[in-house]
Amino acid sequence: MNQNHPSQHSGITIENTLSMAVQNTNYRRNPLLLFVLAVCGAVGGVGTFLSMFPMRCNQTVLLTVLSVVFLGSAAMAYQPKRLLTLRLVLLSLCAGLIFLLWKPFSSGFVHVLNTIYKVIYLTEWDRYAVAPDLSESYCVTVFLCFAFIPILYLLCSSVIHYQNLFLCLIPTLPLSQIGFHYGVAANHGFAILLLAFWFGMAAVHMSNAGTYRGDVQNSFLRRGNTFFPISSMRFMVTERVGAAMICIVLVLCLLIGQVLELTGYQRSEYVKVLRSRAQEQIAMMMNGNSEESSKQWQSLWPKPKVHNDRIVTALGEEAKREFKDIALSGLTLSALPQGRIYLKYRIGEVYGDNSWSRPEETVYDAEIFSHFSEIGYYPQEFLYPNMPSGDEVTMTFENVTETLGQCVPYAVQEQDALQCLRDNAFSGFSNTYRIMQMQDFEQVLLHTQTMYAGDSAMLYSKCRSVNQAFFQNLTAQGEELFYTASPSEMPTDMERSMEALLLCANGYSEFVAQTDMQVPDTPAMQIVREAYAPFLDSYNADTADAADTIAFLRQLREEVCNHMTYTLSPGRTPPTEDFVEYFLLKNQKGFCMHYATAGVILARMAGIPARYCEGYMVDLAQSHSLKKHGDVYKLNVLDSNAHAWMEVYIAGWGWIPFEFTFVEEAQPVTTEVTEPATSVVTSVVTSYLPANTTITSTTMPATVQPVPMEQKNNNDIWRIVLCVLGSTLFIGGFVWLVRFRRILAQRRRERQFTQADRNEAVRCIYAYLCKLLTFCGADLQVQRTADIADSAAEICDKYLDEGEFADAVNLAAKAAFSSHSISDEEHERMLATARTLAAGVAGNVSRWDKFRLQYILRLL
Amino acid sequence: MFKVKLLYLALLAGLLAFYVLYIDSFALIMLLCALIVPVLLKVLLLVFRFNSSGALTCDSDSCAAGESIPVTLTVRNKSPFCFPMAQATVLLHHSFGAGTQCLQLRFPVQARNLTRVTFYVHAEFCGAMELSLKKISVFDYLHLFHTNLPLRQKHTNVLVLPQCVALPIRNASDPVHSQESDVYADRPGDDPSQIFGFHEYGAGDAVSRIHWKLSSKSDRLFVKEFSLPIQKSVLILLNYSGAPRTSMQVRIQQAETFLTLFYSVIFQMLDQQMLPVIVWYDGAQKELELHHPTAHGQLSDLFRALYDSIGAMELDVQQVMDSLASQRYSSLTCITNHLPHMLLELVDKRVTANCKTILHVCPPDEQQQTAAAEIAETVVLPVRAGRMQEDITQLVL
Repeated sequence: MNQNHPSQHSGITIENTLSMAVQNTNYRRNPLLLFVLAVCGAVGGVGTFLSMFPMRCNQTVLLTVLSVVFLGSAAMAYQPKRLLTLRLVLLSLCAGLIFLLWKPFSSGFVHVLNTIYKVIYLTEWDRYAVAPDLSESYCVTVFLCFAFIPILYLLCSSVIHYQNLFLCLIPTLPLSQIGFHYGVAANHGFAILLLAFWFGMAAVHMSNAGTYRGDVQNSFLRRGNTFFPISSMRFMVTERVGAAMICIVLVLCLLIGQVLELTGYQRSEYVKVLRSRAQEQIAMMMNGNSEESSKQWQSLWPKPKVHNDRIVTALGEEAKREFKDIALSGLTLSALPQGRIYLKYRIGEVYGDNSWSRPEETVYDAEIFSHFSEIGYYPQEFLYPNMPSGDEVTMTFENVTETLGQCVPYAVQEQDALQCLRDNAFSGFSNTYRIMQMQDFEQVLLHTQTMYAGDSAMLYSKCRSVNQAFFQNLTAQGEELFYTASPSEMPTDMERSMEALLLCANGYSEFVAQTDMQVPDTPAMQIVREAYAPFLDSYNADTADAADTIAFLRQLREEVCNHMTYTLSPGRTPPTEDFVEYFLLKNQKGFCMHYATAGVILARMAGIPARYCEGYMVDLAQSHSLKKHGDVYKLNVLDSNAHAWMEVYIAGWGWIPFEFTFVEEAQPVTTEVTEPATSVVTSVVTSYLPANTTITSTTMPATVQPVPMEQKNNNDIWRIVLCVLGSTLFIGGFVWLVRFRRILAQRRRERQFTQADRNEAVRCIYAYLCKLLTFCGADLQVQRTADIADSAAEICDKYLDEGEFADAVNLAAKAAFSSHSISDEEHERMLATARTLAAGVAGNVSRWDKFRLQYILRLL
Repeated sequence: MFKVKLLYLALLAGLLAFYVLYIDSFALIMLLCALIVPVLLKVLLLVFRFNSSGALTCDSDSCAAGESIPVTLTVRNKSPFCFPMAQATVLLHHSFGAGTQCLQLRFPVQARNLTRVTFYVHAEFCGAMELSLKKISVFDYLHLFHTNLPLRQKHTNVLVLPQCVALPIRNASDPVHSQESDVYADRPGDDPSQIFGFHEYGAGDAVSRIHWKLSSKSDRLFVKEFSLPIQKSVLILLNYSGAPRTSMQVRIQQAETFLTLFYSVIFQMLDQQMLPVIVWYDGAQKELELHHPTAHGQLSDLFRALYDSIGAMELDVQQVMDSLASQRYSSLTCITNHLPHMLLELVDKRVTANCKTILHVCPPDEQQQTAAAEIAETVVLPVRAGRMQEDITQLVL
């Protein structure tokens, strides 16, 4: 007796012996299914990787080599303990080949790295130097052939031999994760296959089943009072479970993909905002701002945020910029100004770590600001020259969103009869502004000569000498006025105005020179300085006046714009690269943020105080929403109007906005627009793109051109046609598969019934007869063989002659349990019985039962 | 399974984060697929549940104590889906044992197949084993959900007969004198000289009784039935009391000894062609149970009836007396674990028999009495639990 466990007074002892039997022993293992699983994994993994990072290689050779390697690996996985010598030989061979082909192998590795780099950062620049004497295709082919050998071998072993999910993840997950991590799009077919493979292996891993050995004892392991199959056993369901899971996931994914396609799925704004915020948090965490990041995580969900000047503007984090062309605000203008309207949102003055930020608050503790506080004046940052009356435009915001509500135009502010432009750093937001008709500040400054060369004493004495007449009609010989006052009133405190002017002229200039001229002392900045030395050296900050400054900046802008490519998808700036250097000297692709930043840095290098601005820019000539309502003009400010530009400080003038992204000037609006635009508005800047510019994003490109309705309809029709065709093919294929299975089953049955071993053939025929009778409702689960015929008598009488089935039972018993050799005549009798019964059953069952017998059970 | 669900929830959370961060629609496909797959697996389980059943059966409904019997768990799956793990929970309970044992079996379920898992159990002492199939849970491919199969046959009872012990039984009773000989003329008995009738051979019939001549002339075996030698009738009177003051172990021992003693006596009597009349009082029905076993094959039914009554078998002496006092027996043997005075008086004085014996089953730690007590005509033999063969040196029936 086997060793038993104590009963613990329960009175019953459960013995260790346990066995399992199945009725249908034709249900056999199908090791081919594991091979299919491995194929799915290999094709899915390798295909996903190569679709994300398209390599230049000899595809035929690569495919052939990989197929041979895969088949060999699969064969070895089926025989894990054999062919050890062959494995060692092959391993040595591989090592030897790598040694011989080391140069192309290593070059191929570098090429592969460069390809991955280019795809991730959307650049054409080779990150790593490669040997020029070998062709890329050859090197990459050699490298991939050898690199995929261990991957495929591990994959086959983990699927076929170990059937372990985690081992399968080792070769397949990194292949896909490289691209997924950086947002690279993969071919959906391969990616779905890979996903199905993972699910299938998860099911195989979870099955925890073994091979049934039928009558062998100790097929189960006992722990306490629980019996379960031991790991060395493999039950026949394991492979089927994996294959079933793969089929389920594949069909599901294909259906979901079709549904998304038909419904025209687009990511919602909510998800987009969530994504951008999540990326910000991740970037902050990566940059070490864990404390700030942890605070931000609490407000991760999209909520309106109050503008804070100290928010860091991260540069180069986005691979591309997308717009939805949604209106953020309406604008009403009393007249059409000349030039572009800039709405300033925030300023960046400190450049470092690929970001713009405001200086610390303590910077504003400078003495100059306490003076301003004492006299009640804040810096008039832009002192506009003599303006003829009536050249003002009233601008009113309507339905403004909170973001746009923080933006301030370069507007006129009246304070103590002095007209000047506001400094929105110190002034509050208003709904209505007065802006100058002339918004093209470059043009103004180009035609303006030096106001004064910072000689505050001379200015002061000049102002004092004029006295009251100063405000009536102040002129200067050879100099233009740069401020004017309302003629009707005299300021109550003329001294204060003078003092403010002087302070602005001196103290603020000094402040600006300290704060807004800083360039990081890094090797990257040195490289940029050296690259642009010819331009920078041509400008003398000490002697240049406003016009010279503007002229220099225009030259610089032309130089930069001519060598850089404007695109909304320039790719991310690698974290190890300086943003400006990468843009100017390496990638040479970017949008307004890149241009503005580069302009500010170059201006500072030249000795011009400059700062970075972000906000919105409306080009009236390009605005499709501009329309006239009576005496006023209305237009929308869209999200695509987001823009970045630079401001340069010109002593005596203040902060002048300077456009660094476009070379062309803004075109005047010559015709009055009376009809609203109907088509989708494109981004303003796209008007400057060459006609064949394409957005390099592979997943969701920004809308460049509106799709005509007719073309849309055609696309829909084709889609429907393809869908119908696909469905028909799928159904047809399924039907064919079902019929093919039936044919296979019939042939297999025929082979079994007519095999050379008559005894075995008779046993097979008997099993077939039992299946048919069981289907017809006979209960053949009786103890004695002699009773089988009796229990099925009622059914057999319908289809067979009397005693025919009993004879068949006897024959089967003889074939199974005795040494009697079945003769040909007995075999023929048995076959005839089977055929008669099959024909009888087929002719007497309902249609549904017949269908089941033929195509589901495959008994007919 | 709880851990797997947690892991899957973590996977869903990861895929949700992936969907937010990854722009391509593939991320949404992955997320939706991961959400729908558990639903599909649940549907598969439901389809399987409505096309399958489980049952627990035992080949034999009786066995001897210590004998292994196979118990078969059957799962029939008519659906086209296979499942890698099914877990069956079987409860085993012995009528005289303490507590219930729980057995768990894990095995795969193949598609469109009948799976039989056979395990072996044996009872350590006689009684009745109740085997019940509590549930068969089948898990889906990822072990996220499970379903319980409908059970066709959930319970099976196995009668555990005692192991027969060889006792020195001697047939030495005098014939009962009765003038009413024709009363017994129609009753079968043990007199080999008179063949009363025949019946077809069944399990348990003595091979020595086969009528070979008749059997050779037909395809079946026939067994002789003898007429009663009208002089003999043997009465076995049973009395069992629960004895709550003793420990469980002692009670089990006493019960086993009681039953083994009874079984051994009956078995050997039948071997010696002595047909007893067995009487005990069924307290539940409040009536006497009379049994006349004539073959070994009837012992299992006899014991089944005895087990059913054993909880309330204490004799109602008056009723027994009323029933038996008018009878005359060649021998009376009373097997009891509790010997009240009234029972003693009943046996000794009220029932008429040529030979009277009381076999008193007592706890094993009781001191053996120095001499068998004789109360007038009755011989009282104390039999200690577990020491039957020591204490019974001769039993005259």
